[in-house]
Amino acid sequence: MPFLLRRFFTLLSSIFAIVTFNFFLFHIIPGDPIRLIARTQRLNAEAIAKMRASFGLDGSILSQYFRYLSKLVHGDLGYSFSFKENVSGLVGRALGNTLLLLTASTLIVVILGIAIGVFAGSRQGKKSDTATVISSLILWSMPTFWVGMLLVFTFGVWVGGLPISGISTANAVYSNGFEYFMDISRHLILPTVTLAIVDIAFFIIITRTALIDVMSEDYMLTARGKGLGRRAIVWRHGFRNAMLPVLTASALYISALVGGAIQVEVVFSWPGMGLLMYNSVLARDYPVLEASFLLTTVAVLVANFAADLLYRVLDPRVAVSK
Amino acid sequence: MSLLEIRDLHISYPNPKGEFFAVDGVDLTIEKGEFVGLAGESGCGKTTLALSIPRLLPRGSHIGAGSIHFNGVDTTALSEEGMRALRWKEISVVFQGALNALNPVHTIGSQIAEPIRIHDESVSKKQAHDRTLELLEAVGIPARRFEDFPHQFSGGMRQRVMIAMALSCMPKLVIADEPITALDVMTQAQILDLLRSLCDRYSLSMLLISHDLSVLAQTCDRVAVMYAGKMAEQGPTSRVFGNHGAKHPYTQRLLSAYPNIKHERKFIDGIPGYPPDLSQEQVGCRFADRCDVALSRCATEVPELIDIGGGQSVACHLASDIRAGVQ
Repeated sequence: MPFLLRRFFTLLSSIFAIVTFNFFLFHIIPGDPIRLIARTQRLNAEAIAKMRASFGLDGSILSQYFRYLSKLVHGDLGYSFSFKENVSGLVGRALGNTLLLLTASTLIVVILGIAIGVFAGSRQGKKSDTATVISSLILWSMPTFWVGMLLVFTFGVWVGGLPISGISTANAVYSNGFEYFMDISRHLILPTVTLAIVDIAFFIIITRTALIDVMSEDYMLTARGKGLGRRAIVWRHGFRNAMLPVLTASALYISALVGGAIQVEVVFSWPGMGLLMYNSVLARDYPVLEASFLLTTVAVLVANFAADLLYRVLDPRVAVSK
Repeated sequence: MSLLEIRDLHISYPNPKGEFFAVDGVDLTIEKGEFVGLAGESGCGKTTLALSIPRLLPRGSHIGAGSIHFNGVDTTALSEEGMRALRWKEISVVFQGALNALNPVHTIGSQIAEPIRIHDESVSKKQAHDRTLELLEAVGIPARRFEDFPHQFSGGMRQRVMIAMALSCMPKLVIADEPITALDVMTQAQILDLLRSLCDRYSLSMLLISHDLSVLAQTCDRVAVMYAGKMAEQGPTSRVFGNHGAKHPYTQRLLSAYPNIKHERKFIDGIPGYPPDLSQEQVGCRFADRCDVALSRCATEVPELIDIGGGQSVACHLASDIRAGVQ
């Protein structure tokens, strides 16, 4: 399929451009990480040169770039200045935790958001619709970190019952895997709710608007004229057409998710990519930041790639025009 | 019993100033197997009148008074469920602009087949499929295009799809709302012939809406001319469109605004002025302001639609005066 190949090539070249941009971005920033680590005048030139070499910071910037590229291809993301371990291991663990959090909240956001959006959109102007829109706008205008802090306060101080920090109970000993699973699930609840509660409003509003747009199309009158019931009109004829703009919004949403994840992970001390990035910024840990930026941008690109492919499945008009 | 009997129908839409009276006391009758043409300029209430029959008017529209009897049943009194059972099974619509009237994400085959199984659950998928292939053949679309999407068809072909779809349940009445407006002249003629021959073959009735009088003259047994929400004149096509047959000054001016290919070239005179604002209450004849033969009472008295013989009826004081004089 030539389209797929072409699109895939675009994806790869975008990733390459981002890798390059990322590398130079962090190397152009003023300040010498070696000096930051050494923090003393007493090191001799030989020791500094050795340190430079061990962090891959010796030679010209171009030679550093090519070394970075070749390491990257081999899956070597460098060595963390502050955590003193390989970035790939560090990022790998954090990424798993973040994916767990994001998968849980995205499932809730997309499924519930679209369902509620269709519910409201097909009842345009009625009380249930107005109520949905108003509460969505209120939710959407709440800052994620603030919602998180409210929940921390509510469950940490007043109500209790749910863990407000970390991914599992510290120093806990589990008798079996199920107990471990339950512990993580309980820790997952508040961060997931925080992330979902704000973003769900976005999906409700987008879906509702898209459906209302579609409802006024001529083919919806045809569907009504055919004697279809309300449900068939909305779901069979309206829903799929309304999903086209929602799909585009979903791809954009993936990039917005990164910001939300950082806030939530910091508030709930969730050991994921967001918290890692936050701590790395504080520690000026460039290799970790480089790797995190890279992963984030690749995730956004892949999400867009996937949305493009899905679009062709949903909309036959796109499939024909090359 | 006529197939369709509309009596004194009033339909209004809400607008910022209050209400917009789109259809204001209209009568229309369609017999079984009859082709009736509905003419009139944009905004005169043609489409509102037509879509009120299967009750497909936009939300907010309001049927104020009058009745619509379809096959003896007053549809204005039917529940939404009852109306749903009539839609497409008994009354189908060929919409204007078939590109937008077809759903872009479903194949044309599935769209044609869809109403068949909704209205008759005993029909199997296979039977619905076969029936769709027959319909496609009847409108001149190759069966292999069953799985194609609307955007893969030309304008004329899409209108053929629309016609096949309108016939999928073999309704008693087909409402064709400007079915050929967006097409080129050659395609217009083909689609019109197709529509006419299919309705003849299956002995269906048709209400054909058009602002193109030549289209109606070619196709319909009877024509009705609307002006500003009211019926101006109706009668057999041969009479209304025949030489000196039109009795309403509006119909006359409308007809003289058409060039005749057989006669010498002449300057086409339009009708000066604009139709009245239908959100205001109307006094007198609605055409009075634009009428060059208006009498003094035209400005104050609403002319009734009266039978002037030969199946023709006219809503004009002049016509009723002539008739009174004859008697």
